Amino acid sequence: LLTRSTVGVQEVFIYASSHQEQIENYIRQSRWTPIARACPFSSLEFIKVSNARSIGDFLRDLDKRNVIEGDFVLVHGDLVSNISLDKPLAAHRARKEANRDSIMTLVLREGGEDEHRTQVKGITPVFVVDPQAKRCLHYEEINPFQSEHYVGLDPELLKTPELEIRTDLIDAQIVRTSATCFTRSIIVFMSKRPALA
Amino acid sequence: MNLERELLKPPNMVPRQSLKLLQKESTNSAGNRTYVPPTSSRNGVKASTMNYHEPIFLLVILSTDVLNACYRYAKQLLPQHGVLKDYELNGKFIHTEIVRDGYSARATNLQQFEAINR
Repeated sequence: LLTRSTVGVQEVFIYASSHQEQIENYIRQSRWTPIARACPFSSLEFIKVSNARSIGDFLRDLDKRNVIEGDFVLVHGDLVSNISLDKPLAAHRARKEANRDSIMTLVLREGGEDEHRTQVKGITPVFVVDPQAKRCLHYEEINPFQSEHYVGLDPELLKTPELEIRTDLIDAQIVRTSATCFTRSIIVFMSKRPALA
Repeated sequence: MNLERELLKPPNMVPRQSLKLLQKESTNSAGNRTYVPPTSSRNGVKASTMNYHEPIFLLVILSTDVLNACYRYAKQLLPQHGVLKDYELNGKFIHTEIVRDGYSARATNLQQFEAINR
């Protein structure tokens, strides 16, 4: 919450997969409760979902409730970050105005060539990015237990004039998404659904 | 605790072939008799007693080849999570914003979370 308060977030929705009551009691008694004067948020709500097992389930529930209008930031509860979201937000809005199909922006921290202390241990994330359009064309994870350390690319991707295949990006799992296209954006998590509104 | 261990000696009925637990009884020192059903004895059931409170530790050492085989098998069975294909997005675009300044990571444990927040 401290991270979110430093980047100017006004409304917070908290989904807890476990220990929901303990988290809610802690928040209600801390300075993050909206009743407190020191709380930087205008509202802070807990949403309970009984049978959710993944982020996709939470997002589907959020979409059904229609509680969010406009852009929102999706983060994990254990994220610690002081990255300013002003520039990614401005870039996201500019892309959305230019093309309504630009529904999501992943905020990634460059880790450098050497091993960075905040990089994920074990799994190596591979991002295939078009540097001109800043599009994420392909994402894959290399597990250390894999016998072959290759990434399978769609031949269609090679038609892109310029490609960057990077493994040095630290995925802090900050996602800026447009709620107006949210019904369509959740196909990232639910590819088995045959028809979407 | 030792007295309780002595009094409670549950005999476990385990077939030699499948190691499936068929029968489990708790007997005390006064009535130290174990009933073995006749059908089970024909299938090669042996009665063994072990202390109820003693944990059993099983150490399995797997080579990397076995782990690779397990991983490949699980990869075939489970749906692919974390793999994003461009054609699965129904014409929608996902963009990336790569930043060089600032700190951003997920805390893997409470001690790390506390240390970072200070």
